[in-house]
Amino acid sequence: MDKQKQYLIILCILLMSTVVSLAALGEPRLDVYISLFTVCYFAATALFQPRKRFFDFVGGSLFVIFCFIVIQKVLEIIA
Amino acid sequence: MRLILDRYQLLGLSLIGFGVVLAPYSLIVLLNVALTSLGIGVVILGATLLVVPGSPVPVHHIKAMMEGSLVNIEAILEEFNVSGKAVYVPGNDRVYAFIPFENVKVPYVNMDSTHLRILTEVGGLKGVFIFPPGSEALRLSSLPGEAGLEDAISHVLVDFLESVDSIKVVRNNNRVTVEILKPKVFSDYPRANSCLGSYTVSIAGCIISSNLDSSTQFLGEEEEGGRKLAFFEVNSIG
Repeated sequence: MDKQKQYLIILCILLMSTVVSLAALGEPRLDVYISLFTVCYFAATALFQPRKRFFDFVGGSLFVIFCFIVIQKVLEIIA
Repeated sequence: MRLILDRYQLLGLSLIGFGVVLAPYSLIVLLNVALTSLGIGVVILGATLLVVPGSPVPVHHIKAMMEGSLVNIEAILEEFNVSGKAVYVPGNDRVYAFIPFENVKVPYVNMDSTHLRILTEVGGLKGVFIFPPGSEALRLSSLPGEAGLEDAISHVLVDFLESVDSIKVVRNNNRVTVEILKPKVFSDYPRANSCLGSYTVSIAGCIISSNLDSSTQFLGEEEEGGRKLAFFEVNSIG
């Protein structure tokens, strides 16, 4: 099995196990799910370093959303 | 411009479509965070499938390299005025092609008892040994060892090289006929085409030889419309 397929299978397992685990724990906050998705995505991408057709807009979007969540949390703490 | 999507991109678009419906519906109507996050996860996976190509090696690079190697083969065949039909011979992890000077039937060729030189003699027949481009494609495609003949040819030509739409293989005793539907790559080298078969046919010959672990002679090919028929004979020992 080549690197691309391994990457996709591992990413799929990580994302789905995140959903199942957090749902089993009864986590009600959507930002926690998205933050963990971002961590899983970047971990799998860093590990396998797959070739991309074009700019990695998935990683870019997840990073922007993650930053937005972090800033929101920081502002909540400051306020 | 025609937009051609491969299997990964189609699956990616389907997943995105499913996730885009599931996430807002779960958030607004069902008020279920777990299902919403499942929808988001499916969208991420679908978008990743769009970004990641199916093949780890760029297909255009492979095609360019193989086209380049055909120029050299054409030059060698022209130089020695070779007119026979190639016999694909499995060797150490690679497939070689022996092409006799004259168009005659070649007996079973065993790499162990053959001198691997450009100009050589096999069973009293003089000819040239060349390294066909399909051999490298076969090696790079990471073909699973237990694959059947049709699966193996389909894996390399359809999935790995994306050079044909589909293939069918019919085996009748020692004769193997490969039907290639809608080939997308064409080689314009008359001598190489006549001796080895056209680009896709030559690759099919390498795969047959490697898969059956026996020398395989290319007999000829016919083309009609978007369909190509290639004929091979698998040489048995003795």
